[in-house]
Amino acid sequence: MLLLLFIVLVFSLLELSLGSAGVSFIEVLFPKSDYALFVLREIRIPRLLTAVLIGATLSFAGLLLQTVFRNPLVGPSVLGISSGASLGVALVTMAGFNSFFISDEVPKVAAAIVFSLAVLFLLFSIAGRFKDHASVLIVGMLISYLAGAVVDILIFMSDNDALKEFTLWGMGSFSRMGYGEIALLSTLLLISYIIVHRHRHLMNLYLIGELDEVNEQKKRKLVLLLLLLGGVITAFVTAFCGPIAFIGIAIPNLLRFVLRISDHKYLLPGSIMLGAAVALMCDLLSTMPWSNHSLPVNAVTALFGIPIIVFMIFKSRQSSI
Amino acid sequence: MTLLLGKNIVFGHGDHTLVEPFNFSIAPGTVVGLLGLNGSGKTTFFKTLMGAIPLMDGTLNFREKDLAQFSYAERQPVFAWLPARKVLEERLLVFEVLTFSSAKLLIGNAVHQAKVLQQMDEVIALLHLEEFLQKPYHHLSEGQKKKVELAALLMKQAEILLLDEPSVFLDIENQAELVRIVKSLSKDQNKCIFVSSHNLAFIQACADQCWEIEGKKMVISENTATAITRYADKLAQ
Repeated sequence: MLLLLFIVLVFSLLELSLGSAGVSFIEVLFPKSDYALFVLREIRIPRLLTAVLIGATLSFAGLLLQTVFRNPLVGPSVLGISSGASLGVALVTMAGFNSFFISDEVPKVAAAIVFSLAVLFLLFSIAGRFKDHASVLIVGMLISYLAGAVVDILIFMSDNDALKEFTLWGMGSFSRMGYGEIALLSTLLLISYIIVHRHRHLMNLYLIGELDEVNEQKKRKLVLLLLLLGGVITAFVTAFCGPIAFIGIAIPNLLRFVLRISDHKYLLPGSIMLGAAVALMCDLLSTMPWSNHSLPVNAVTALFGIPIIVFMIFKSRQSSI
Repeated sequence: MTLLLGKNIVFGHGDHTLVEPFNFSIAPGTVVGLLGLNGSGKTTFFKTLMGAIPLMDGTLNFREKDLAQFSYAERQPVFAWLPARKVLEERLLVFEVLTFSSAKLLIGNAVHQAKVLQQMDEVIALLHLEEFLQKPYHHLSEGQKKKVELAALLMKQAEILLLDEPSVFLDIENQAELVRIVKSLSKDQNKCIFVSSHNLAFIQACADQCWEIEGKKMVISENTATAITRYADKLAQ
């Protein structure tokens, strides 16, 4: 855990000192010019905080959902929340609702939040009727196909500029959040963390099937609580940064398979720390310190992250047999 | 001495009565074999004892205290139920399953934790689980899995164990092992154990009493051997 904290700190310094604006490491530690201060305050610090926060939030949400479904393939995207957010953004960018607003980002974020929360509540109202919570997964998938279909129609009918704007949103970015959004999201994460932390023993019992049947009521409450918290924080992340791939699914698995942690007492803080570290690493790579260009963060998370995870899982599996 | 006393017990779910009024009284260290066809109410009976399903009528007393007055937390040290099929996260290591099942281990002071750890060692020794502790649950054979589940159950330190079809999927050697464990728990630790099974030889080998759900009646026989012969004859007809 201390090692992870150290890694996060080192990456943070790197993140602060690298970027296309030409402000060096020394200047980060001892900022002299107004320009350096401006770059730090307006660009690099928000970006650093965003990367840390998004990584932590998504891997935390992924952990909650993987525990609920006892399935390592589940991630924050399965509930159909990202698709809901996509639909909202698609409506804004491609169906012409954008012209009502002056700013560019605000309507997109607002639509993404409204639609992803709408999907979440739709999901809950349906899920409440089922006894088996695995059906939540199926309904979530169906909702995302439905949203996808509407998005496809919009894409088919839209012009090039709108299409590009929508596609760029879908690639995800850590540079869209200001201090206000950062404060909001960290408050949400903090509240969810405190609530979930109080349930850590119950989550362990849930994993070994102790809450089944005998304690149906308690189990249902726990499942709904975890789904709701995981869903809401994912909704806000997606609205602010676009759908960020890989982190939510991979980090909890990395903790479980490679570091061999299963107790939620360690998984909960571990997911926050490791999520932050990996998101920072991906963001560092995406800024491409060796050149003046940068890549979409989603491409980096997938291209660099997934092969590593596959390799690590494969190795840890082999050694455990 | 009576551990568990039932008066005019009626159970079932919702409005559907499965078994009509019956009385019983059980001493500590008794093994009860529970027979009955599929759907006759064996599992429902266990769930009713645990308080997961409310009694339709009658009273249950544990050590002369009415169980209806027990809160959920107070019932925990009384009953522990092992379902026939347990759904759990199969990638967990065996020692993690044991640790998680003993919630007491995770809270409390060092002295208390040391005590729980010692109990865990005793359970591991009783079930010969030493060599499996670092293995994932899904790598185990059916017999080993059942032993791990039983160990997790014993970590709850409950006085009355409810084993739902524990011999299912077990080969003859593992069944014999299970009989040894059940007998040891009842004789050495004075546990009261209910075992439901369709396996007559298994019931005959470990039970002191035999209860049979027949139609809507609970037929209680103190003599297991005759009850089993009667049950077998009925099956033959």
